[in-house]
Amino acid sequence: MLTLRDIRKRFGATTAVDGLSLEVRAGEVFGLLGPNGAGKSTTIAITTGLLAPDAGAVDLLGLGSPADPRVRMHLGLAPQEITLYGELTARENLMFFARLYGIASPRARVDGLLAMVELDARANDRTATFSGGMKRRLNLAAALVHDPKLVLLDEPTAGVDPQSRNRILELVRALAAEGRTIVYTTHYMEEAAKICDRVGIVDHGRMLDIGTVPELIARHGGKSAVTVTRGEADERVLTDDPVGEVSRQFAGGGVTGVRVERPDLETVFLALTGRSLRE
Amino acid sequence: MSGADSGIPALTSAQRVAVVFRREFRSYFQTPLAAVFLVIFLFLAGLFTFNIGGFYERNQADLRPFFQFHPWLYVFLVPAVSMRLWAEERRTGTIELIMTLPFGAADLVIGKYLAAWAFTTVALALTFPVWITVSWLGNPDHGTIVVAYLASALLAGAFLAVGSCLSALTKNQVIAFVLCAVACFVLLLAGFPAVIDFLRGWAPGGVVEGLASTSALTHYESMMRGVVDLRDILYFVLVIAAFLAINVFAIDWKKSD
Repeated sequence: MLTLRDIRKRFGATTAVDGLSLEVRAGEVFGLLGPNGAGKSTTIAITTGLLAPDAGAVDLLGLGSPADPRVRMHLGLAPQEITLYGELTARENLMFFARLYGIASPRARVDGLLAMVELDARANDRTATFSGGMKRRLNLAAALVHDPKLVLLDEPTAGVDPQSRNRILELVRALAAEGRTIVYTTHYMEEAAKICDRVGIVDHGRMLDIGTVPELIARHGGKSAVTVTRGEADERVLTDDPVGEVSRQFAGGGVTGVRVERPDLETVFLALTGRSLRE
Repeated sequence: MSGADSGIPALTSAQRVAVVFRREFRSYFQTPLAAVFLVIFLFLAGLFTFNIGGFYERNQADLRPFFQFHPWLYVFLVPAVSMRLWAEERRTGTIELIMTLPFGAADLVIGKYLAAWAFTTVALALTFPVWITVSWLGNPDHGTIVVAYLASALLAGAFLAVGSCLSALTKNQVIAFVLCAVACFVLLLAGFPAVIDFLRGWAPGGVVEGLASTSALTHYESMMRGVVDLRDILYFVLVIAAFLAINVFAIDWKKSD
């Protein structure tokens, strides 16, 4: 569906993307996970044709580079920044893009999208009056106006309220269930773990590893930590079998508390880069 | 591959320009900009014509006092329209979305430009009471007035093309305004009699004539007198085309900024 081969991009002395390669399979939700400044948005900009890579190649659907406008017909982008016309209503914003794409029945398509992102009740309100979460949802709808095969969502939940965040995650799952391919950038590991079929971990413009979340944890997460409390004393045990370890500890008697810490994507990131995702 | 391959009929370039034009033209009237611009333009046009231009005192049935101030009005008012054309898209980030649309920047540039030009033409058309007034008071040469209106519209169009191009270089509307005002001022000044006379004192005649021929003022004043010279029209068309072409290049160049 989408292939990036050895992409490099520099801005002056700064290397934003440093030999990044990845292959996104048709129908999957692919997460690009990394801290701010890791090169995720630059990678997205190259994928959409907004930026030309200094080196490397991008191919979408075997049709070539998205620098070709006809190839871009197959991708939809919800950028990190809210990209709406504040003086227009929600419906007018979507109608503008629907008409530019030449959608045959734009009104029906737009009404369907407004219902999907639960903004149909606010369809005729100016978007300047919307909350951040509502704008994010409308941004997502704008990316879907032309029914693209590949949807690029760049930090779609950044700065939104929990209700909108949940709605956006539900929408991503629904889009995936329709068979759409989604590239989802985030620095929220819980989101990536929740909705992504595979995750690529990016830092300093490099792809550190790609796999399913369990695969990544198995490769880089290390052992689970079982902390056992007996009276005032804590004992921390690292193990590959936390359930068995807990059983063994209880069999020894005197246990007043147990805490199990399983490795997660944060652990994986820490192991791969030596720093936290949120740094 | 065409748009049809993705199940969506491909629009022609003209259709896309029309979509952009409609949205952009409407947007002027969805903000206070249209009302403020129209009121200020009509007020200043009236002030220059009747007070400073001595419309009544001249005892001549023509609109020379009206048209002679248009270039100087446009130096300040046209940038107010053009400054938002692309700077606003940059500031709000909408440029990121529209530049990933499946067609080139030319349709967007032309659509937005034509909307701005149509808007300033509406402002110009609203000065028709001045024409009615002079017709009521005397017997003016209506042909000259029509050509002068055409010249004024072309001059506004040329300045808008300059402004649109410069607006594409920044996300700050104030900077876009200042750059456009300065560029338009220079474009006028090249043909200003005082500048020409100053240059005649030391520059070769060919250089002076060449510089004067690049001035919007020279071509505007020629048409303002009612002379339809294709070279004047061609000048404005070339200025518009050149700056719009640079505009397309600038948008492509800075699309990810």
